[in-house]
Amino acid sequence: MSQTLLMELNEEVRRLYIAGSDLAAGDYRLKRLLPSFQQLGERAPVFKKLGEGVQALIETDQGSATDSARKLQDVNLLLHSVLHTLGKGSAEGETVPLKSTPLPLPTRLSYRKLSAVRTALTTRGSGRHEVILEAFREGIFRDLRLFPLAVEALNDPYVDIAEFAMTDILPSYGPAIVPHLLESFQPAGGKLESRKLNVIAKSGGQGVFGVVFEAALSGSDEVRITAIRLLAGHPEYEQALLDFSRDKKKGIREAAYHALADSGWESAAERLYEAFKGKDGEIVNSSLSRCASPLLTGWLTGDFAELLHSLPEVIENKPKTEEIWTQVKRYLWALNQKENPELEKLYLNVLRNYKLYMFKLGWTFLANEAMQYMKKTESEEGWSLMVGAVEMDLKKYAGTSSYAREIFIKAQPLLSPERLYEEYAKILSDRKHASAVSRSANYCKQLLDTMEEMVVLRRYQAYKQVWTYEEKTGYTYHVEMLPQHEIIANWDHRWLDHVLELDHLALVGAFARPGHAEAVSYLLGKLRNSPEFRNRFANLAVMGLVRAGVAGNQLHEALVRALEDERNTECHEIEPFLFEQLCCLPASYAERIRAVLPKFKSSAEEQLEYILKNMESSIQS
Amino acid sequence: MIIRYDLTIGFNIIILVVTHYIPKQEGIRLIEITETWIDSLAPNSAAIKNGHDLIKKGKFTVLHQSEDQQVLFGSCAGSGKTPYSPSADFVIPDKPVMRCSCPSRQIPCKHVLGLLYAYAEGKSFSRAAVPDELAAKREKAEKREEKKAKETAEGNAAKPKKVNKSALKKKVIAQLEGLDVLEKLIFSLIRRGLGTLDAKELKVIQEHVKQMGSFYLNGAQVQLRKLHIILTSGGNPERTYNLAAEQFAVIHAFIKKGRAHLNAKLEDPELALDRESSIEEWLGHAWQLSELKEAGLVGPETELIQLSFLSYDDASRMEFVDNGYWMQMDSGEIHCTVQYRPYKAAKLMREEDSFFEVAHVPMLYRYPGDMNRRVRFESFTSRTVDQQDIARIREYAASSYVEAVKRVKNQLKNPLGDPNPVMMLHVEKVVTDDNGRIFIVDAYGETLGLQDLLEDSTVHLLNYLPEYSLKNVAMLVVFEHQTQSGQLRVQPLSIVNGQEIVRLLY
Repeated sequence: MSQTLLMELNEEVRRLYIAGSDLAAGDYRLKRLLPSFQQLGERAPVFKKLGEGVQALIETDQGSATDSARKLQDVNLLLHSVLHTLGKGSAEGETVPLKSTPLPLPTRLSYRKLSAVRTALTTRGSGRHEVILEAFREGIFRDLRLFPLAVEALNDPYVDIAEFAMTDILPSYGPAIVPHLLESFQPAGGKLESRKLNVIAKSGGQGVFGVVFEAALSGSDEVRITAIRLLAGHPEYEQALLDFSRDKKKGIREAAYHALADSGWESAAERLYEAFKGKDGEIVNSSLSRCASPLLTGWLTGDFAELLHSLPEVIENKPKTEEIWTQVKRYLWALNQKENPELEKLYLNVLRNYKLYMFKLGWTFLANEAMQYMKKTESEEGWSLMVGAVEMDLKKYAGTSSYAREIFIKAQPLLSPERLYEEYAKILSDRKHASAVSRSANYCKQLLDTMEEMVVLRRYQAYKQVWTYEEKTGYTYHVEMLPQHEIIANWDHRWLDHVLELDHLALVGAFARPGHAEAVSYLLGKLRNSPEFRNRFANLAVMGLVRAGVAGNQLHEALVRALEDERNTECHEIEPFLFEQLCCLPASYAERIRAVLPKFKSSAEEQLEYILKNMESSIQS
Repeated sequence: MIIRYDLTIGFNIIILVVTHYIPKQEGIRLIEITETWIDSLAPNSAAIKNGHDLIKKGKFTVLHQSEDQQVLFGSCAGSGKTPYSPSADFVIPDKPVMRCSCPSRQIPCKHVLGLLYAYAEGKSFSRAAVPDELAAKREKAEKREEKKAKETAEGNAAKPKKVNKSALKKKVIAQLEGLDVLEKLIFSLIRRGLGTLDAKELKVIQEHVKQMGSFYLNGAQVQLRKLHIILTSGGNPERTYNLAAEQFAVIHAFIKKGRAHLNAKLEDPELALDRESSIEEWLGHAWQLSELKEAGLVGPETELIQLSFLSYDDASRMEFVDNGYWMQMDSGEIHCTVQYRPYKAAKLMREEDSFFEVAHVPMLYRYPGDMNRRVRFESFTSRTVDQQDIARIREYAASSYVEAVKRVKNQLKNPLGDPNPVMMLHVEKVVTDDNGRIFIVDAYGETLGLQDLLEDSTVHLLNYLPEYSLKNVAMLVVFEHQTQSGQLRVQPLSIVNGQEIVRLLY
């Protein structure tokens, strides 16, 4: 009773703080409370004092400026002191002992170790993924205090973190965490729960599949889809999956097809085949290509052959052929990457009728698929058919825009190097006498670009930065050329003279071979004229020089000269190939490298320092 | 590892307190240091990494050890032309002096750390004479030590600092004046009412925050800034008004008590500091060890075990705060170590860390206060925690919650007391009610409700603990009274079972 009274007073006091203490004078709500305080005050002095305070507050003289505020503060102070002594902490009602499910994890890591990871897991912003990966590698997650956060991470808005928690962090705790995940698992939930279920299925062993099945039946759509996919390969749920594949919801059927495809049972093949034939033809397609069942492949191939067989009858009927083409595409997707003797026959037949499919119908996808399949089979007939097909292409497309592009790419692996050269070299030699804006100049450029694409590969890829502490992995722009032996085997040697004449640095670099003095002097000149490591020319020139078999000391000198060139500034990271070459420099170059060090920044500086360090240790040892 | 900083930043000299004794036998390396020990010296984890990096990148061109094996020194290439000369002088084994010629204000800098790591890794350090510059510095330091020793021997060391009384008096008068200004502001805010507070008014509060500084009232600055934060934080207005009312009570108590204290001080011809209550700290006084000693607030040799650690950002102080809760092993009292790292200097200061060993301190300085006294110590040695220590910690746990709560409430009713006292409680068992709320139970069947009070949650971790960590254990808890719900709640920080201290926080 007295506590309620105090809380009531607290309410009124707060109200006055909000409204302003000047309104306290004569406040009727305070007046209403006063008798209770006076009554209780007869027994407890504290209430008496509070009562007096309240009375003083009500009777504040409007005239004196700060009186009301002071009196309100006095009441408030005393009231808070009293309230703080009245806190109740004990349980009301029945209690039972806490049933814990122990996780055998220590709690011995220090604050400094844990806090960075905790921050990464509980805040938003960039750089968190790296911290979490690092911590996982160092084993910091093997501390009880991080486990709940690792579970929370399944819900991280940054997908990479959520996926990493699902695929790596949580499974690393082993089966012990399954009871905890099961306890908090809410089948009706969203992405978090679906990821949780993934971990449960992965770590929980056979025992948890009851839960997975239950979730597949009654969870939210998101959870059901995950659960159904997880049931793949479990024979006891074969019938259930077959049933799910007849569900009303499209997403559920798709997940069931997916799981059936992964299971590969006979019943699965039958059901998928049925779906393919029925109205689910579209949504089952991705599952068909997943399914490795030879039965299914056989059936599909049979149908595919029949379909193509029916073609001549309707060939003049445009809408009919269009309809067949749509179906053909679905078969091509479903049978992609599959092998079957009947399929080989089918594709041979396609190549035999290359003119029909390629030129009359324009079914390039089918023709290409047939070629791809044949390339894998090593069938002699297949090969001669393909060569024949390409020869037809060369005639058909001569003078068109695809001649120097797609057709060249198609022909290169099939024709002999000499034949290919003879077919195309004219384009390059014509260029010499043509103006820069002419059609043949354009043609020549197309061909050179196509060739460059084929022999020089450029891409960003992971790269171990050996010069960094802990040898971090970073992403770097890589330039790579086809291996020299492949070029010698598959490309005519005469190309080199042409590309030299046309001043095409990348191709000269790629085609360069020992004993070609003209190429060497061309490349050395290029390196002298563009020594900047920040640009992508020096790299190509050096690659060519290595291919041309330039003597070690000559190459080293050229490299260091480039490094020393006054134009060679602003390089932030030396490209991998150049870096590799610089690492091979003999220690006698140390002084010259140290001298150029100030010109280089950030990673490039570190790389050069690393090279120097290696040189030093090579001197010492 | 607790490090006492020589506050002469700029000299880049630090006196460190080492936990590892250096064996004096011949034939083994004279200086024995481990990587973990070096880690603990580092001001932050980035410095650890940077120290290692220097070795990895081969920046150390020279590594030397003095002829008497007491000094490690070397040369480390930096960004400039001339290399830096880091050194570590172990002439006083438990107070090594680290120096470096680099401009970094981090102490010890990465170069010294790298030098030490190189040594710990077993890199070869060739014998060489100590460079002249370093030798001169060593000599000076030696003389300082000698002088100090002489003074101690003559009993001069404890000579009290001369206080300029007239200046102090002026300061006290200024503080009183500041309290009046503060009171005037608070009253005007209250008369006007929080409901109609506008940006202009908030600006006035902020101006007063600045003003309080010139009245030597740092404590008032903190409290006023806190009020400003509460009023501008947004969110649920109900909550804002509750917190504001609470903060008004605190400020009112502060003004009243502060004024009474300062007036009494003016009366006192000695103008002595109050050694009983925390009012001096509230007014912004930073106690110096010598003052604590003078006030008799220093205890003899004792052992401390850290039970929990936390670090948080206190926006109203504009400082990061590192808090360690320690048990004094001969009395069972729970003390608190506090390190403030002002935002502006946070980068240069060592972030404290959890400490897992027993700290043996020659002298323990205690601040005035209530339950969890702030303590400091200048140096310590350490040993590992053994079974007897664990048993003793458990014995000190309060067995009756009724008694414990009484003590806590006694502190809570003082508006200037710490609203979050920490205690070690005996827990017979842990129970849960129909709503899934968790309670601890003492030997008499009394219960206390658990709830997460700090930013880092710990209560749910109990679900993952084995039975031997939940039955018949000692639990370090922090209390809080929630005015609106009328609940007194505790959050578990650590559990001491039969074998070990299980840290739920840090």
